[in-house]
Amino acid sequence: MDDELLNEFINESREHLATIETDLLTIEEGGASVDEELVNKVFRAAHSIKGGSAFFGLSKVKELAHKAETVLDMLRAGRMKPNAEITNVLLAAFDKLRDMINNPRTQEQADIAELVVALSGLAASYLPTDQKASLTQNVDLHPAGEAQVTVTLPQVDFERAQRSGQHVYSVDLDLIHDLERKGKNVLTVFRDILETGEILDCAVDYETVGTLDGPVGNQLPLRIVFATVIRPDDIGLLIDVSSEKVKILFDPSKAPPLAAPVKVAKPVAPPSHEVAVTRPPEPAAVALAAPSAVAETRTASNANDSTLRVNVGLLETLMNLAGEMILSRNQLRDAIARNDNRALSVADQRLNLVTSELQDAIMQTRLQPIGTVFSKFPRVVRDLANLLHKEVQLDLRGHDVALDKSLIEGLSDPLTHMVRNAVDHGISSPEDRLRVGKKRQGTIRLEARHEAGQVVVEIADDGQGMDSQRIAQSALSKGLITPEKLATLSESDRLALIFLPGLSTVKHVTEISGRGVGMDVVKTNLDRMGGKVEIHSVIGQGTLFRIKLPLTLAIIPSLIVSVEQERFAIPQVSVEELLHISAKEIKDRLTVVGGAEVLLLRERILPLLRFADQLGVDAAGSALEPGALEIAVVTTGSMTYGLVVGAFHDTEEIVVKPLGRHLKGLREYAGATILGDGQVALILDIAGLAAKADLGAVAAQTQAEEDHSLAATMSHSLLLFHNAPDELCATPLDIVLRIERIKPEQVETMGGRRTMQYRGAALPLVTLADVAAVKSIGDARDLAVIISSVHGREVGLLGAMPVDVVETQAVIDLTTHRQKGIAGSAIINQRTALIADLPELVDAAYPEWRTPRAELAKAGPGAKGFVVLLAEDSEFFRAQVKRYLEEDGKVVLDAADGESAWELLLAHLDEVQVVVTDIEMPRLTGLGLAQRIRGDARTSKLPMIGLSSLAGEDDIARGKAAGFDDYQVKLDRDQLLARVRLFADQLTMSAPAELTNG
Amino acid sequence: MNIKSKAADTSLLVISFNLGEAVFGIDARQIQEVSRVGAITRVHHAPTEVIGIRNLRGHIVTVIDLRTRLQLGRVVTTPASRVLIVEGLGEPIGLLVDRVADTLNIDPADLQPAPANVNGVQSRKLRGVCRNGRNLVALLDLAAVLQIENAPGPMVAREKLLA
Repeated sequence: MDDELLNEFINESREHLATIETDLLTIEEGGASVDEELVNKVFRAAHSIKGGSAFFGLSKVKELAHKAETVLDMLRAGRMKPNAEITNVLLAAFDKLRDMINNPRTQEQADIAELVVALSGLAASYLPTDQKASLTQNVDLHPAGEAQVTVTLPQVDFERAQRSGQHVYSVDLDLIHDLERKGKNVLTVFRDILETGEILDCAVDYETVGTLDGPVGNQLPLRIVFATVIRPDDIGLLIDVSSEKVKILFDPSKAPPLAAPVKVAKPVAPPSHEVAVTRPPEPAAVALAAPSAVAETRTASNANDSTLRVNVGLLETLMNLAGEMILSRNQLRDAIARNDNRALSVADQRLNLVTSELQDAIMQTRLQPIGTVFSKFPRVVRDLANLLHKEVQLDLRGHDVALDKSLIEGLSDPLTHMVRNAVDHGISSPEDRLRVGKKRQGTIRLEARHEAGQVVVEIADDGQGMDSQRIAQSALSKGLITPEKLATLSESDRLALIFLPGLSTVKHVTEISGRGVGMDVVKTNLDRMGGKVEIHSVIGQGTLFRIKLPLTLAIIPSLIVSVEQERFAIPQVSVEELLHISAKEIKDRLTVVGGAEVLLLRERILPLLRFADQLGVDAAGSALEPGALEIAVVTTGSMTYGLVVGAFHDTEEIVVKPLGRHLKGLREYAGATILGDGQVALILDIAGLAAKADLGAVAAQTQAEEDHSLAATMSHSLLLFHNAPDELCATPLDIVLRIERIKPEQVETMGGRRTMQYRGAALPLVTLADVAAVKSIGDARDLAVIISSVHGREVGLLGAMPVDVVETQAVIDLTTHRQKGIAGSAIINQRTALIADLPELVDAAYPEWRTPRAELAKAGPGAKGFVVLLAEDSEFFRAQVKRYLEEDGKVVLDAADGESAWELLLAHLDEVQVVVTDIEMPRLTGLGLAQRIRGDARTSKLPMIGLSSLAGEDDIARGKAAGFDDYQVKLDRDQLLARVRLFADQLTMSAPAELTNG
Repeated sequence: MNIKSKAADTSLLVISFNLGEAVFGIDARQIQEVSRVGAITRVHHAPTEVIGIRNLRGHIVTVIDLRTRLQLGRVVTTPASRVLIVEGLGEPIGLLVDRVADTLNIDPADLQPAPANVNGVQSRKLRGVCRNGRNLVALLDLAAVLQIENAPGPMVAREKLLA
């Protein structure tokens, strides 16, 4: 048989089969309210497979499709109601069909007996006894006036046509003259017929072909028996053959309704495996076999997936572009022949344009929605949940996220594994779930989305979570890790141990999946695609796997940089900005924090990585200007750093090629590419490079002020600086806007006040010695100006270099060294550091900065005796804020966490007038406290102000949702006081007003 | 310069090449092509035997110094140096050698085990030796040569994962 035609049939069938699972599951969900449209769709799929397979002689496919079709027809006609049993059998049947169609050459050996029995049994069990026979009987039809010609049809099919008032025809087509010479093929004819009816049978008459002595040679006759609503007069419209070739087998207008116009033929001898048609269906056996069958079928279909369907519009575009390209080439040749430079550059431009458009179009053909992978999971989850007696709801999101075909294929197996794991081990049985106060039904969320040039796929379940302790113990007992190493691992590192080969925490490993068994394979597969996987898990609440696929496409825009003579590509998505720092700027922009070089970039302090050092190359710095630096500010999404390179070159679209296996272990490279001149350049992996250079530690330090979720616990981020050489001082990092390095000459003293020129204005400067009894800075040559904002104005605190940032859990002593301008002290690295109180310093140095309004309000009606409940876990901040408030005439009740704040509030219900609370606290967070206050009738009206070290949009939104009236940045004293006063005023104003009104 | 002109069906076509003083050979069927050294891009932090990567008609080829691989020092690239392109586990790999010498027909029956004084690393990578006139040619077992010896064993892999 014609291979091309067969391939077309296979592809078409696969397409039909692709959505069937989802459709069947939807039908089952719908229960009694049958979605006729949908059932019809599935029926048509089975039907068209049956028709085609008959033509290609795929007898087993035809038989199975026919049986499935019969059951589907009964569903469609409402003669049976969809239920799990029917769905199971149908799903198994379609799996088998897919399998056979993917391997058409071996379909003859396929074992379909069990399925055929199950399907027939199903159909039979829903038919009244007197009609059961119709399932196995055939009818003989004769064309009008040609009694000698007999066409035999299964009775069910014929009755179906009868019922819907269709005509039954038989047509004899000659494959050669009627089809091929007219540019058609069998499949197009089938499609035409299926538009308005059904194909009942078709067969190639090979006997005729064999008769060489016949009157007309060179014929390949095909007989199609079909039913359609089209009347005999119009049949020529449907099939383009001479009318004598079409024979009418049944005409409803001439036949008495449903009275059989033909004799019922004797039952055909049933095929051997079909003996027990009347025996009760055995769907259970089929259903049990189904889940394990799925995987095999899938692998088979994947292996065969060497063809791709492309949108016709896109193909047109490609054709046009190919035409354009040829034109451009001709222009180019012409220009070269004439040695015409102008024409050359025009042709070059044109070629450039066409090439990039062509590339776009070609890449688009490779893009596939992730839905093609997702669509199989409803089935996987359902089968597995049934098998394990669990109730699981699957929440699929982001179907449309498009990914490169190769990534889609690569994702399929790892995702299946993880989803199965989630059902098998993540979600507990309904009884267990109820016992721990969860809904019976577990939820698995599978979501894809684009995020910062990456594709993120998440698999989350609300199951029992993973026990990092148990995983760690298991790894230890199996000798996969040493106790010393284990001690250094963080929580998430311990969870990541499940990716080790040979680790399983489940004693009883089921055949479906064992968490730990195969997770190493998942990791290997994802690694191969350059993907990363993270695990987050909370015992009793669930597990989240987050897969990040870094390069969505094989072609990425990249920045080419060089160090000495070597060129490297950095993916453009990782590049934030490019800096050129001239030799004389270097000392202002670069500084050393904790032994590591950092870059000061506007408000940020970024770790700096000298690429040449990393490579072990002796680099002369910038290739353009001696002593200067070229820095690419790059980001991995979670970390940003400065990469010092020799020179920047063009941005190029590069084709990513994988590195050979000798080089797979090098984390700093994401692959290689071939540049325009044919040379190979390595592509840098920004995250891998940072990990290699151990930038993480530096980044954690310098980014402490950006990472408010980390800083929120008991530790403080302090900026250390010197006052006199032997006086170590510190200030909370939260209040620092920027740090500038200056020389003593830059400080101007006028009218007894110090200033420096900064961004075109005079920046007021204060020193600790101005107010506090400490030594003066003296003659230090390297000064640091710590810029902060007090009363809405920028002010600089003058100190001496070096500056450093520490994350400390040191207790802050608020009494020993307390004096005006010094908030307290802390022991840092065995040295006492004085903690500067910048607002107090400024108040003393610039008393006139206090706004008159603030002074007025201080004396205002609500000011005195107003009770504030303050919850803050950091002792230092609590003391600071309490002092501000008390200085402002407020009475402060303070608590170290949400839980004690709540107790305190209940004890002083009538007194507390406003609540000021930190967000991140042990025991009960600020958000939790706010929700509790809002939820209690006694306190629901209480004004609440949230305090955070950094108020981002998200934080504010979350705060508002929890019930906060206001959100303030920690240590912005004026704003906080103003707010508290505002609430105080509102309260005292509204109370009398209500009285007069009432 | 055939050693023996036996029937072609049993004889083995071998490409012989120099690594320093020694002459080695590889089954010619395993060699896709012999190419000049060309422009090689250095890969920092790669294993010492990896000289770098190069472009071979759009494919990235890892080029390995065969002398380093066999613990025979390093190849000093000269105009006579060549890269033998072979296929190892589905990817092209280039083997840098000092000089390509000849093509020989060898009867596999003439192969003898490597002499006992050949060092351990080499002997494990040899299929055997045979005489070529006055010279000895050591026939390399390509699969053994391409096997990654420092392949991260289970423990190393784990360390990496946890790092």
